[in-house]
Amino acid sequence: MKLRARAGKAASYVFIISFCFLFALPVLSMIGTSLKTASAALSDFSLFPAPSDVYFGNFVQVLQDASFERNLLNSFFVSIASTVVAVLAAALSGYAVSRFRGWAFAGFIALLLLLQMLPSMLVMVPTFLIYKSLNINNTLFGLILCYSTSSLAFCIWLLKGFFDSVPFEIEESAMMDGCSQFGSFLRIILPISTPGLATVAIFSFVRAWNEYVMARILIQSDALKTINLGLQKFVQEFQVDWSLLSAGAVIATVPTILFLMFAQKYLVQGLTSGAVKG
Amino acid sequence: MKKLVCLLLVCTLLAVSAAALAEPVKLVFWDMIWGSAGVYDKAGEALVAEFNASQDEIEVEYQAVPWDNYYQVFLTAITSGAGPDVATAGSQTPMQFASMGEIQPLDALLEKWEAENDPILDDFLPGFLETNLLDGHTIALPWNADTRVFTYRTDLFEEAGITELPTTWDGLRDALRKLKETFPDIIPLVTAGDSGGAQNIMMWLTVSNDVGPITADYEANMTSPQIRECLEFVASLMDEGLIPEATVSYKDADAQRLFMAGEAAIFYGGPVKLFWSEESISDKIDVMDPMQGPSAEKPQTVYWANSIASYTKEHPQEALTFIEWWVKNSLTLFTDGQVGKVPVLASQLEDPFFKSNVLDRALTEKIAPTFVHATYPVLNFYPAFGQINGERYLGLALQEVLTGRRDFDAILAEQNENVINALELQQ
Amino acid sequence: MATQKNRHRFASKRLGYCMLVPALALIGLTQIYPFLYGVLMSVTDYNLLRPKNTSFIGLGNFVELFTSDKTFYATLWFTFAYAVSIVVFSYLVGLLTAVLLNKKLRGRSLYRTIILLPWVIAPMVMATNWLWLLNDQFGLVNRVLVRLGIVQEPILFLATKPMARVTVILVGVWKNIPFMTITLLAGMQSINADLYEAARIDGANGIKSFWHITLPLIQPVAVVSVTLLLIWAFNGFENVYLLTEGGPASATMLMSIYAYNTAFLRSQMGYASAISVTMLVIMMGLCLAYQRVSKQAR
Repeated sequence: MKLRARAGKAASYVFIISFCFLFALPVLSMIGTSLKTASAALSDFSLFPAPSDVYFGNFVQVLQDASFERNLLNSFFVSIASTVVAVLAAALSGYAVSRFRGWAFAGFIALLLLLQMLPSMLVMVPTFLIYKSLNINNTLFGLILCYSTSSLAFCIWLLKGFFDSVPFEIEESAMMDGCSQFGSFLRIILPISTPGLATVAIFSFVRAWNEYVMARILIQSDALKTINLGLQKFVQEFQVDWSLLSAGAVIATVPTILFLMFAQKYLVQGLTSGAVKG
Repeated sequence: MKKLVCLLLVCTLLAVSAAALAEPVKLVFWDMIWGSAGVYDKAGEALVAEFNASQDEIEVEYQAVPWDNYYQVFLTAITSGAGPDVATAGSQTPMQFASMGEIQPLDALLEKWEAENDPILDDFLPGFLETNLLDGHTIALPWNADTRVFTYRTDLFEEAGITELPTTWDGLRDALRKLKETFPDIIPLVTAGDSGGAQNIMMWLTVSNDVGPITADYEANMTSPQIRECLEFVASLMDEGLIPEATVSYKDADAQRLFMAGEAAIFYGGPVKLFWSEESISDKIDVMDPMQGPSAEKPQTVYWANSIASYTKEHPQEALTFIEWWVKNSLTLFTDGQVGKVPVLASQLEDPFFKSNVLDRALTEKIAPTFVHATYPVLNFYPAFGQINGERYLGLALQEVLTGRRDFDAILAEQNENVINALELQQ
Repeated sequence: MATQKNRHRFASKRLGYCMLVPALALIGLTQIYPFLYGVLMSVTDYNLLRPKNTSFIGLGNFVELFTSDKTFYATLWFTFAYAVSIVVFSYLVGLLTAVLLNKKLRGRSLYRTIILLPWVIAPMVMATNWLWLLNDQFGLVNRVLVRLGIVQEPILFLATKPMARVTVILVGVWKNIPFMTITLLAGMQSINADLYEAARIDGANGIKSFWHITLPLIQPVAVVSVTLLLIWAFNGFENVYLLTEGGPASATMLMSIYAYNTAFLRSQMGYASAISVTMLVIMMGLCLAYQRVSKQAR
């Protein structure tokens, strides 16, 4: 029995490590490219340059570019702000649709899904018109609004699932102790739904960080460009500065990974044994 | 009393307009990044600064625009009134906005040149001014031209015993055969065959075979035997193993990589500056001569005219002033900005810069004299060109061949229908 | 007790409405108008190049789409196959990785981060790196396969129509596994550990408790992720556009790319909207069907 358990564990390791390798393959290739010179990025086919040929100049050049730093900060600001807005709004409405019945709540969910179904490419022109008439095109605020709204559907829906799994009796006993329903939502429901909150936070952050098409349309000023817009300057009409682009992309990934590692801690702090008697 | 109010009103109006006169008119100028970022946009910005310093009525604000998704950016901005006053753009873009009524024609500028007998009128290379005519109006002024070239390895050619550069397709195929015989492990010809790449191959082949997807009187012409010859030619290259089997999946970068790593003898595509700075090949490469197809009488090379146009509604006059200045003073964009394209003014071609390196000398001396516009046999960008070129009907036909189909007539009949529909839809 | 519960729910319904306000405000401000605009355009012949000649044509676009559009059915079929395969495969692999990552393995947070990588890196950079890895001449994948003797000749991943279809789906799966993994993992994390303990005391083995505890309890989360991924994959654009632009010779053409070309290359905004609205209706059908099936399974 013990042997079997150990074999199972070993198999898990083998599986997960080979999975990780497969997942990381293009990422490794990107990192390799970022360590090559501009011409080696094209002419050297190996994944990584030979140790003697490792070239850090791309990183130096990208980091020396003042606009790159600003792009990073803009992306950070926009992603964090839109994550906060999306998670807050989604937690509130997720709770509402989980706990209340009625046509308004059912209709709200249907609307959320429906709005996901029209391709964003096609609503680009009218979307731009709206932003223009609100005078928030070419502002970071406009991007925050756009990103938080576009992740709402998933966030609300996922959180609804989490709230659904919490029995109403828990809130009820709190309310009998004198807590308002909103109070019990804040004090009891939210804390035990941390895995859900962490998931939607990761989701909205990554989505905002990686979004490109709307940013490309909405932002014109160099001072407001996000990281993905900033990277586009390495893409020319007929050729691409692959090594610089890769170095920029590697640097751009670091904050996301830090955020993921931070947010993941909350993925496991949800229901500890005995927190909920369900 | 009423009169007094009127008088006051007129006075304030006058005062306001006088103040407006003193303030320079602001123009927003969007410039595509025609070369490398950090090199070209610096030169463009410097040129605009020079213009701003040269007079004090107009102040131009420079905005470099990256290539990716640029049509959508222009489209959303212009249709909602947040667009540029003046912009440079790739090939058919001004024609498309002109069809939408969003462009201010430049006729006044040409009339002025004619009235003043401006030498620039004769300075434009033949055909260029016609490329941006739409219903008799000049909607944009070309200032640079794009083309595609065959870059080849001189050392491999020499070793394979190819002493004379081919000037016909048959000659090219013979050279490729010789290369394959001498170097079985080297790819004779590498090029991008993805949808953009296949379209570019076909643009080059059709022009070089004296034919286009439509006739000069706007009839669909995809079923022409001359276009069939293009497909047959590529099919023969593929069947003999003279181009890689997976060509259809290559993007520009893949083809560039194979050439730069020394795995291919010839690269077809845009002029790539990086080749000339890669030590292992830079002194062993050159640009091949223009070539002609079996149905052509002389070598012809396709080019795309890129231009500058006016989108402003408020300041058309100022926009004209700036556009005239840009076109006449654009030389530094080639020399300092490293555009890697061909200028459109004969006087600019004379500049010693274009003799200073192999690539620019080849482009201006060998290739430019054989230029035929991408819209051939039509002279100008016509409304359906956006769709025919954008949906890449020529390229789609070639991709069918590259994925193994050999029923050329059926392939071309399918695409001919697409072209007919496009002409019907857009004219 | 029951009446009290109902009263609580009922009495505070106004609270429920209030809690919807922030989300509704966000949606109402930026999404409703573009959506209605898009739907309205589908019954017009709006052409970008001739905006002033736009007229109402009723269901004309739809009639043309269903009766005389040759591209439509082939594209619809591939889009359907593409979306469904992406959902099925990324769900299965995502479930497996989520189960593994839910175990107390050493270096768990490292694996979790790595598994999320496909999701967080600029799509254009990722697409190019895949193209390079899969290249027939210099791609690492082919070089390794040939070296190991698994294949004789390099695999032409994107150069034949069937292989190109398979390859864009594989890359799409790769791209969406992180999303599936993280949502399913969150679902597993919220399962009360006592349940597994009780099951073990009752003598249930790992597979049994996975089948009877894990799967049913992650169902709500799974339904959400599967439905949304189905919508996103069906609407998907970027992945295929960056890899093949719908080629070779339209083999990997998706409805979204077709709508995009129609809108921006043919300037037929009205027709493109009709394509999108058709997709919307099909998607609604798919989602409803899926919800019904998953409800029955429960």
